[in-house]
Amino acid sequence: MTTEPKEESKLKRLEPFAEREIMRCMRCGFCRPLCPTWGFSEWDTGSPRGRMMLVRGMLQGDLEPSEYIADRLYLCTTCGYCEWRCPAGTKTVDIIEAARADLADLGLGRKSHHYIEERIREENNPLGEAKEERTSWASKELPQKGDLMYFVGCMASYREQGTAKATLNLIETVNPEGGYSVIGDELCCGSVLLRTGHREVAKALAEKNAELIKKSGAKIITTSCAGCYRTIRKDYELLGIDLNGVEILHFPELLNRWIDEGKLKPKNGEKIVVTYHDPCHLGRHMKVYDEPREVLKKLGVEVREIPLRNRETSACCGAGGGVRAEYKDSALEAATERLKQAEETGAKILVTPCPFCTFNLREAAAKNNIDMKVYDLVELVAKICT
Amino acid sequence: MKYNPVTPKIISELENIVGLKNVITRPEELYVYSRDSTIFEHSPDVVVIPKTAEQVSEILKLANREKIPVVPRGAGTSASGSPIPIMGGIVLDMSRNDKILEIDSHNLTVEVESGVVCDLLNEELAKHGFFFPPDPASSPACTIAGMVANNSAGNMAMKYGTTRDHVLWLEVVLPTGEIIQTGSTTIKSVSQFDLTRLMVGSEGQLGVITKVGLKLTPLPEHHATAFFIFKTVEDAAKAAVRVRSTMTTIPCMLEFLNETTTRAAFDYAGLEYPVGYTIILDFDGAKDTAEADLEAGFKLCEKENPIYKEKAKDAAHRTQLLTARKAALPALARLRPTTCMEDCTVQITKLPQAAKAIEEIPARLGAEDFMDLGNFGHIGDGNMHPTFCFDERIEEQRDVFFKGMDILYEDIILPLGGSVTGEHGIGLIRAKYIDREHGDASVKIMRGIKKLFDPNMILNPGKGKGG
Ligand SMILES: Cc1cc2nc3c(=O)[nH]c(=O)nc-3n(C[C@H](O)[C@H](O)[C@H](O)COP(=O)(O)OP(=O)(O)OC[C@H]3O[C@@H](n4cnc5c(N)ncnc54)[C@H](O)[C@@H]3O)c2cc1C
Ligand code: SF4
Ligand code: SF4
Repeated sequence: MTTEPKEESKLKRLEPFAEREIMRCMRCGFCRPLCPTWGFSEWDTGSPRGRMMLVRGMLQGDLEPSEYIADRLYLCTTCGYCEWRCPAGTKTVDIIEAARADLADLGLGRKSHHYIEERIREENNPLGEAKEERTSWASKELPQKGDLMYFVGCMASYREQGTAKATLNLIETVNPEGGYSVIGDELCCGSVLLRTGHREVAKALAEKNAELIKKSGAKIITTSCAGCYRTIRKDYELLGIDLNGVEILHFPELLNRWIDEGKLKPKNGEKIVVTYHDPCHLGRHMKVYDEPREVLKKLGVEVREIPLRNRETSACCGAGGGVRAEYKDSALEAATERLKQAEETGAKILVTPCPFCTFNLREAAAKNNIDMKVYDLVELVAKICT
Repeated sequence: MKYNPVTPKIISELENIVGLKNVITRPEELYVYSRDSTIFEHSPDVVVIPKTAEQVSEILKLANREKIPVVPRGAGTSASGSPIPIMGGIVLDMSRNDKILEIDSHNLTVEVESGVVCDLLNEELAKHGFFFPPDPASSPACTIAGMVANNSAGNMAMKYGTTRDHVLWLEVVLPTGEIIQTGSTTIKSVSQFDLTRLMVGSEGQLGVITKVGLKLTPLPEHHATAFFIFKTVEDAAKAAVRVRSTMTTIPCMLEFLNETTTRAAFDYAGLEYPVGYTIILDFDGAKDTAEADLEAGFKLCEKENPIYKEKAKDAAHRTQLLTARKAALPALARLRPTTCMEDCTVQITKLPQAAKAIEEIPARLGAEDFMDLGNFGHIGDGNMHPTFCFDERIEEQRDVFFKGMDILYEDIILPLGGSVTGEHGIGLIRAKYIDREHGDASVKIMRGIKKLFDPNMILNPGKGKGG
C-alpha cells in the first residue's frame, strides 16, 4: 500500500484531503441506499462510498485519474445527503468538488460544463442567452440602487421567469415606495462552476458581482434561488470575497419576516394543500428548513410532509451539481423518483423555493404524466398575497 | 486448492448469462469491490450482477466447471473480511436485487430478494404495523442476505433473538448450481434437517441466497428508554449484569458505549452530556408495563452510582440516543484514520472482568500514543465490539493492532470461556482463533460440510468456517 500521492501536482486540490479527510470514510455504507444518484449506475462506484474509494485510490496512487472516474464523480448532484449522514464526518461534497476541480484541470471535465463556462464568459449566464435580455421578464425599467437587492439568478432570469415576476411582485407589494434594486448587469453567481470544478472563472464572477452589490448600496441581498443563496452566502466568503457585512437572505426568510411584521397578508381564504420539497442547497447545505414552511403555514396553506424523506432526509430533485447539464436523463429519473415520494402525501401541488428544482421537477412531471403541479414557492405566495 | 484464472472466454460466457451491462472488469470497480469495512483487501477479476436464481445457477455451474472462486456480496459492510475475494475470481453483487416481494399480514410473513436493505424493509413493514427485529448497527446499509449469511444481530437480540430466529425459508443456489428451498412457508416444519439454520451464518460459503422468507413481528405499542453514564467501565458492566440477572422482564435493549466511543458518537448525534461509560436501557410493550419495567431497571442501574442518568424525554430524544449507538463505529473514525472493529462475547457474569481487561489493551501494547480503543456493543447479551483506532498506513501500527487482536481473543475472551465472534462471523480475520475455541474435531466436521456442499471449494474460499 502506498501512502504518498503518486504525482502530487496532478491532484493539488485533493491533496489537502489525503492525510486525514479521505481516511474518515471507513466504508460503513450508511450513505449508500438513499444517495439519489446511486441508482444511475449498477455498480458501487456510483454510490457515495464508492466515490470516496475512487478518490482514495487516486490519492494513494492505486488508481489513475480516468474518464471512468470522472464520470462517476460528475454523476453526483452534490446534494449533501451523504455528508449529513456520515457518522465519521467525511466532507464528501468538498472532496467530490475538489476532485472535480483536479479532473477538470487534467482535461477530464464534462463537455457540457466546458460549454457552460464558455457561455458564462460570453453572456454571463450558463444558458447561452443574451446578457442584454437578462431582465426581459420585467415589464418596466428596474431600479439600480436601494437597501434591498434582489439577486435574480440565471434560472429565474431566463427559464423560470414566473419566479422572477412573483418575487418582484411581492417585493413591490411590501415596498411600494421603492428602495430596492434589480441589477440588469447581474452575472451568474458562479454556483454551477464551483460545483463542477471550474473555480477560477467562478471567482472572477464573484468578484464582479461583489462590485455590483456594493454599487447598488444594498444592505440586504435576497435571492429566490437555493443555489445562488448557498453560493453568495457561503462560497463567496470561502473565495475571500468581502461583501461588507451585507445581510444575505433567501427570499422565503424575508417573506417570513414580512409576514411577522404584518406587511404581507393572504388576500383570499382559499384552502390550499401542498407538499414541500427541500432544495438540497438550501436545506442540508444551509440548514434553512423552517422559514419556507412557516411562510406557507402562516398564509393558511396546509403543508403535508413527504413521509420519511423530508428536511435532512429529503431526496434531491436530481438537477444540481451540473448533473442536469451533462446527464439530463438521470436528472429526470431522480426527479421522477422524488415526485413519486411526493405523491404519497396525497397533495396535488408541490412547492419548492428554488427555480432550478421547480424546472426539473416540472419537466419530469410533464414527461411522465404525473398528476402533480409544481410551483416555485414564491409563485404560490404571490398568488395568495397579491 | 488451485484455481483457474478468469479468461476472456469466461468473461464472455458470463456476459451471455447476465447480459453485457451486468459484467464489469474495470480496474476502478474492482478496486471498490476489493474491500469491506476491514483493513484487508483483494481485487476480484470480475464483478457480476445476476438478477435471478437461474442466472446465479448458471454462473456457479460455469465456475464449478472451470474451478473459479465466486464470492457473494451484499452491501459489503462486513466487519470480518468475509466478502473480500482473497483468491480473486468472480464477485456476485447481490445488492441490486432489492425488491420486497410480498408482505403477508395474515400469515405474518414477508418474502424478499436478497439485496433488500434492512432499514428500508423496516420502513415498509412499519406501514403495516410490523417489524423485522434483528437490528444490527449497520441496518442503514446492510442487506437481508448479508444478515442471513452472517447471522447478524443487533440491539434487540436479547429479547427478539438474532437473524436466524426470524428466517422461515431460503431460496439458495448451491455451489454446484442446484436451486433449493430450505425450510417451509409454514411456521412449523421438521420435515428436513435444519438446512435453513445451516445456511444462516454460513458466511457465503455453502450457497448463494437469492430469496428469503421472514417472520413478521408486530411493532410494540411503546418504548421506554433511559441512559446512564458511569465513571468506570466496571460500574457500567455491573449495572448491566444487575439488570439482566435480577429482572424477570427481558429488556428490549441494553447497550454499552465506552468512554472513547461515547465521546465520538454523542458528538455525531448532537448529545451533550458528561462523558463516561454509557448504558442505554430500553423496554418495549404496552405503555404502562414498559414504563414500569424501565422504572425498575432505572433503580437497579442507580445502584452502581452513575454520574449521570436520564429517561429519554420523547421519541426524538430516544432517536438521538439510538442514532449515537448505531453510529458508534463510523463515529470512531473521527478519532483516527483507521477503525478496526472486533467482536467477542462472554457470559454476562464475566462482563465486568472482560470489559475492564479490554480497556487495558492499549496500555498493555504500549500504544496509548497512537491508538485509541473504542468499545461498545450489545452488553445485555454479553457481546462487545472492541475497536482499534489507529493508522493502517503505518506498518508498525498495523503490527501492534494484530498483537492487540491476539491479546483480545487469546488472553481475554477464550480464557473466560467466551466466543471469538457473536455476530460478525469468522471471515478472514478470526480464522486463526477458531481451532482453539472449537477444537479440531469440530472444525473437521465444518470442513466436511463445506466439502459436501462445495466439492471444488469454489464458494468464498479461504475463509474461516469452511476453509
Ligand atoms: C458500522 C457497522 C456496524 C455493524 N454493526 C453490526 C451489528 O450491530 N451486528 C451485526 O451482526 N453486524 C454488524 N456489522 C457487520 C455487518 O454489517 C453485518 O454482518 C451485515 O449483516 C452484513 O451485511 P452485508 O449486506 O453488508 O453483507 P456483506 O458484507 O456484503 O457480506 C457478508 C457475508 O455475507 C455473504 N453474503 C452476502 N450476500 C449473500 C448472498 N446473497 N448469499 C450468500 N452469502 C451472501 C458474503 O459472502 C459475506 O460472507 C456492522 C458493520 C458495520 C460497518
Ligand atoms: S457514511 Fe461516511 S464513512 Fe460511511 S461509507 Fe458513507 S462516506 Fe464512508
Ligand atoms: S452528494 Fe448526494 S448525489 Fe452526491 S454522492 Fe452524496 S448523496 Fe450521492
